[in-house]
Amino acid sequence: MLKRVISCFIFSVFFVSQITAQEDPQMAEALRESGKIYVVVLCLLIIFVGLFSYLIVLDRKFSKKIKDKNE
Amino acid sequence: MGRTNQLLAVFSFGLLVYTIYFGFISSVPARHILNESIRNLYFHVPMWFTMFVLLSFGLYYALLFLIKKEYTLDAKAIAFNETAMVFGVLGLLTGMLWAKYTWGSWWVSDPKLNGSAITLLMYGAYFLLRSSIRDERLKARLSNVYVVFCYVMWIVFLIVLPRMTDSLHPGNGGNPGFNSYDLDHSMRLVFYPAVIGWICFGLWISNVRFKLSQTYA
Amino acid sequence: MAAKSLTIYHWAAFYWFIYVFTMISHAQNNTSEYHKNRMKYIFFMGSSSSYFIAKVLAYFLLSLWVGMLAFLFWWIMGFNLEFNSLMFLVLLIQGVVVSALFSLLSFITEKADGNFMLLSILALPLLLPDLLLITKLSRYILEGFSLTIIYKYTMGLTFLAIITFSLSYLLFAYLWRE
Repeated sequence: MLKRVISCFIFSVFFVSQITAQEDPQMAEALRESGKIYVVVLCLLIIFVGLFSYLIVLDRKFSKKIKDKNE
Repeated sequence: MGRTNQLLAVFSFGLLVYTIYFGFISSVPARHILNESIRNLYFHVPMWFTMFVLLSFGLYYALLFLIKKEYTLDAKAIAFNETAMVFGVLGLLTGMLWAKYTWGSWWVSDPKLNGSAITLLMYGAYFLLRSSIRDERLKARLSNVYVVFCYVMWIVFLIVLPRMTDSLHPGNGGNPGFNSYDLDHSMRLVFYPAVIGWICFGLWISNVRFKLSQTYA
Repeated sequence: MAAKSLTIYHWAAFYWFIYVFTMISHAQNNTSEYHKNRMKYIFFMGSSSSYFIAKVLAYFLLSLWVGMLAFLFWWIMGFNLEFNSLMFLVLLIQGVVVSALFSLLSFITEKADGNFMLLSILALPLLLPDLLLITKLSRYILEGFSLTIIYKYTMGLTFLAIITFSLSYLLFAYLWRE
């Protein structure tokens, strides 16, 4: 029984891998639309989020320092 | 000091608004594979330029600290290095995204990519060294010695070693540089302001970080 | 099957990783043995440059010994290529890089009273460029590439050794007590 389950699992993995291998390798169509312009938009978003989170980290760090100083 | 810092902020704000607007609007040369993502040149490449400039400032203040032993100089060095690392991480992330949609994978074994990852590791070790020492004076002395070493090794890694092997990046190995075909006149008009704008922005943030540490520490 | 897929490149990488990790553990043992009073005595007696040179020499001899041991491991594991004179030259130059770097970094960890891991955390990122370069170089030597390529990489390594040595020599003076 266990053997059968295991072999079933292995075969299913094998078939899934075959099916995915047949797929078109061009994935994530949304980002490839209109000449990949959304890649640029996403990069700008990454930069914005990164700088914002750095400012949040700084804010937390120095708020803690002020609190420690006042105590 | 305060006046120049405000000027820096206004200047970088203007240049970045210009960059973001014209980065999307201006005409770019049509290329296969790159397509419109060639516009990433205005956002990905300046991150590395900014990191380079900020780390150079960090090195300058670290050396100055080692000579003069003034502790405000150490605070300056850490401010510049920390901000530089933020820009380095952003450059890595945007580069990974760009690589996924042009070279086809998140990470390719390219000397520049490995070099930048190892740079982040080196400076990570620097921050770890700082956090593991309690005594402020000792911390400043040891970490500034270490950061000088980091900077030189980084330069060796990023500038000397890729010259010896091929790279996917333009300008190395068998790859022609951007100058020869991609960076035409209209792109230069946006690219140079973008680089200057991001550098000024980085300098401004590091100055703000330095002032915070001087006021509240 | 696994034994067949091991190329000369893998053997070279094995060799240098064994070398570097053995060096790191030796340096860690060295730093933990230092006593505060002994350091006071050294500060009192010697200058920074003589201390540094002595330390580099000790590490250099150690690195040659470790290199030979790593070669022995190579030989026992059944990698039967002769260890030619070019490899020995590379081992010498690499010894300069590693000994200069460890002399500086072990002093930093000693002063920081850091934990056991601090030395390897500080050393490994700085050693990575060197490791990549030397793995490639020793692979080219073992595979018998043309001398022009080997010469180019050896010059690169020598350049790295000169930079590492002079930089750690200069910086060591700043670690010394003022």
